Amino acid sequence: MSIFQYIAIGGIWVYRGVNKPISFLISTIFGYASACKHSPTCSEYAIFAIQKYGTMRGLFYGIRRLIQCW
Amino acid sequence: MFGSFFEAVVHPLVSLLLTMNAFTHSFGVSIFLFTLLMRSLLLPLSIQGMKSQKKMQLLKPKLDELKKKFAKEPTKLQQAQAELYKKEGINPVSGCIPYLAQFFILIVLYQALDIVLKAGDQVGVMQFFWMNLSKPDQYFVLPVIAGVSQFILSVMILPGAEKHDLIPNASKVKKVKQENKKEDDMLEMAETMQKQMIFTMPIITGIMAMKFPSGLAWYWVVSTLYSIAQQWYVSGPGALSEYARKVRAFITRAEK
Repeated sequence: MSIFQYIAIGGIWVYRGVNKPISFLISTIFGYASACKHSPTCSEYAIFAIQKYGTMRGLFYGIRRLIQCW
Repeated sequence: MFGSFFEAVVHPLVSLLLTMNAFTHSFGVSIFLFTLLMRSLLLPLSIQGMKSQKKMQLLKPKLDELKKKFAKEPTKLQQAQAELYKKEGINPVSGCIPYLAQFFILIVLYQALDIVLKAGDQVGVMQFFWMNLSKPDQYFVLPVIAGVSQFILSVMILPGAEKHDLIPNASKVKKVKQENKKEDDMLEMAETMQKQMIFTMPIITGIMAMKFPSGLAWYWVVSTLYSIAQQWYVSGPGALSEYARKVRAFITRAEK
């Protein structure tokens, strides 16, 4: 993997680290946190795509999937 | 533009709080009623979401099967998943848009309370039992209740006590065995992390509640208690009964 791939994947890990407590907070205040219904989740998918197709294409695939989620 | 939109949402909430206060003459009571009202308005959505999440948990074995079947074809896997959800009538309430909506509401409510509490005694009676709601709770009662109630809630929500069904490790082929081991390790790691969150988050909540104005902590406690009641109504005590059994067993052993 290139350095860019590491940076991109690291960024996704940071997002996940920040998101965990936030979703915990939401589940306390609302009694439940709306969870992702897809598996693999977008972030898992993006990490996988970046590993397989490289930084730019991987990120593109990840973002494309995020936009498709309604 | 975003700022004025935000204000347009926050201001009605602030005026609602102030209007309530004109009747109750105590911000403690107003915040209590305000929280009950907000949560009750959101109740249909929450219950729907919780029910569909419960269904999804029950579907997990089927999903895992699909995952194995389409391990090499992610697009087909997604299609098959969507079909399964449709067939089982799972509501699309879960997803990232409702999540963002929840996040938005969380911030808006916080902002509204913050504005009122910052205004302090100018807008009404801030004294509530032993606390001045615009200042932190000096006796740490609310922070402790906030932490404990959150712990109870997270034990009820998060799957911790029940066992996950890990992939049976029956294969004789060494490579498959290794893969299974890897998967087991990942699952275990995720589970330990979740268990750690159950213990660490209430402590963090308690510390935050010590720093924030006690009005916010009060709102937090009321909301958490509401969540506990809601959770109990939808899916019962959950893992809580398992923990209670352990505690009881421990006490009887200590007595002997």
